[in-house]
Amino acid sequence: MTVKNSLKAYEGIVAFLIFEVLALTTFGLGGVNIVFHVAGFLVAIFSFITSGSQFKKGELVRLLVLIIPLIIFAVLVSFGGSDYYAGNTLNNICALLGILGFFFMGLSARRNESFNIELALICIGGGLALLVLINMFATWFDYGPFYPLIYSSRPDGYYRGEVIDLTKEMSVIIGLKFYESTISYGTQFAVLLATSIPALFFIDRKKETKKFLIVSIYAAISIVAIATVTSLTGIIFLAIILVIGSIYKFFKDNELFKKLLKWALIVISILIGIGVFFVVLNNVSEGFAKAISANLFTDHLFNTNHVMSGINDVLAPAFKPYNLFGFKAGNIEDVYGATEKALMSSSGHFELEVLKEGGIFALIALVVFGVLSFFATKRYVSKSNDSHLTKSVIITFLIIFVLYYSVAFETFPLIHVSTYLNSFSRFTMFMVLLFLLGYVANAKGIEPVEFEKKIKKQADTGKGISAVEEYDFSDSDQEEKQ
Amino acid sequence: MKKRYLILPVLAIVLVGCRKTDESFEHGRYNSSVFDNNYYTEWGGVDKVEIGEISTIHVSNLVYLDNKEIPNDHSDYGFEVKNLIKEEDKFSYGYLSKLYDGRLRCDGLTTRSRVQLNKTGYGTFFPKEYRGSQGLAFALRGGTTIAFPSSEARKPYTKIKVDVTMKFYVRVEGTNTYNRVDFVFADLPISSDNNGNTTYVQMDFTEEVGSKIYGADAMSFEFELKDKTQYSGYEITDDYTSDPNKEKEHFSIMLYEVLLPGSVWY
Repeated sequence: MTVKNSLKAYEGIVAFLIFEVLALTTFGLGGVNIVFHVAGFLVAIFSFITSGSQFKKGELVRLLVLIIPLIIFAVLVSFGGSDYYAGNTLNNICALLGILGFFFMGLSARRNESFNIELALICIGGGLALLVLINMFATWFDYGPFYPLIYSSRPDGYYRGEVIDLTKEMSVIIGLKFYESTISYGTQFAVLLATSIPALFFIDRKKETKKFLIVSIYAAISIVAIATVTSLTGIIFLAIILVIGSIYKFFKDNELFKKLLKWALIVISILIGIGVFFVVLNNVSEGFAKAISANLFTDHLFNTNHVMSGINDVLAPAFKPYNLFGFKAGNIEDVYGATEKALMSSSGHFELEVLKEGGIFALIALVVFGVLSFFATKRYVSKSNDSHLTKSVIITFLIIFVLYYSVAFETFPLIHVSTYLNSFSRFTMFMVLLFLLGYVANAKGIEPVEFEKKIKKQADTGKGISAVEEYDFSDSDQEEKQ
Repeated sequence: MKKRYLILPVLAIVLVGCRKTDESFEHGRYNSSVFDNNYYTEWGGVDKVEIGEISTIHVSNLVYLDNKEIPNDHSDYGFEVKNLIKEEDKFSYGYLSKLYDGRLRCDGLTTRSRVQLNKTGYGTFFPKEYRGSQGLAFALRGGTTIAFPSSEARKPYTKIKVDVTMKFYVRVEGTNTYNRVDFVFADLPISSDNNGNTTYVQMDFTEEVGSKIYGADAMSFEFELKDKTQYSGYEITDDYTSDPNKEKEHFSIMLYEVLLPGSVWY
């Protein structure tokens, strides 16, 4: 028996460990994540030992393009020196191991023949469902169902002698204790669980009864959990999930729709790019900032509305030399304490949280990783042999993750415990995202031989190969036609 | 048929829940500009319990502290060291948490600090069972509807006397009956209508007294204005129900804090 074959014998165990780590990480007792970070890293090592030999040399080089920005991001958010975790070496090491570990676990899982992505998704859903169920029952116990509606006319409660709005909090488990959190924090798990709903469009209820039942239970739990806290954000995201599911179901083979979507994405990307450019310019160029504030309309648009003022609070100190690798309060040049103010408040956007945790270079690395992952996902959807059920759930999860945390990420989610920090880069759901991105970057059906063919072809035509082209994230449709 | 029973645990959670929403108020409740609307008169069922033996303790050895002497080690949160929230986190919830937060005197936070009482008093069940303390203490002042007078006119009644009765309810094991222990603080001189000046009263328990209220589940607080002629020139009452047409000036107790220093809860 060769070494390769003897390692293959352990693939089943490794696959089981991956399922277990995914379920436990997703459940995570709300936020106790350090243990799961390390567990993810250890399982990733086992997984690479057993199935890593199946990677071809060229394939690994191709994946490096995707991995390098992730490594830069991981190092900066772990050891950039942000005040959030300054000096907490153990936690920082765990964060680094977790980010890399989960991505590599996803990468290597694909080459494990005992690994089944549908089972992995069921494990992720199971962990989430358990967490949502516990939080839901705790909330019912403490507040009753539909309490934001029932108590809308008398919402005042008291905590430590202060008036609080009972309709804006819910119960969540963190560790082995229940706390009062903001509704958008508590609902996030139900929203992510609801990304299983599109799977229902693709399951044959008669032939796959068990699968249908499991996904239906997940869907029901998420819908009931969102409805009984009457979270408007949650309900909007449920609608978005249904729209994504429907689009995938009915338009996945429609060429006209694909073209329209492509152009819509290009236009949206350009608009976002222009918007980001001006918003950043407003925070780095004094002349531009003066010009903006001189006009009432542009001043309101860029400065005085409550969304922009929160964004500016983080962006303004982000370009100071002492904050380039993560926000550090107390610098003598930080006269008005802008850095400390940004650190102590929740921006609501995960992108800005990355700025605080790892600085501008960490954000750039994450954006590059995100763009590359987008093309990897596009390639996965068009080329992978995975079922439409799997693809629809993964795509929905990825889109909803980015959208939800772009508008409703809570850095300090607990109402009465101001010291509890919910770091984006150490967040358990981010680990699950990284696993899925690792998986889609290297999913079944994408054979390395295609890559080698392209290199040869491009070498023959004398074209140089840029990093992004080399990875071939884009033009999958074009390639199919060829 | 059996499947129907699956819904029972869920119903139990919903119905039996010890809800934070059980006590919820409309905006501005107990915090209005109308004096009579701010009385807190809830008893939370304590007035409905079956009472067994009643023992009365007339408190004599007291520590009095006047306004500025009252311990206040934090500008916003007052006396942090020995407040009930510090001793048991469950006291953090509910309207009466104002009495447990360490704000022992009026510190400019007005209704955020105090609970306004009339003769009805108030009662409450503790979130846990009381298992002893070094003593008990409370901080209070008087307050009336008398229009804010000049400093000269105020002088005659800046110190008034009240009788305060604090009752502790100790459940008799295995029954629904409660033995009641009444602490009577007679002729208690307290500040009133004097820029929020507050009086702090403390008694230390002897072993015998402490053991009497060991295991208490509830307490209540009542008072009586000792001599209604103390407010010279004004007809005054401490019982608003006896004066529905508001012909007299109303007297109330502004209770700032209830402390059981060094208490143990189970």
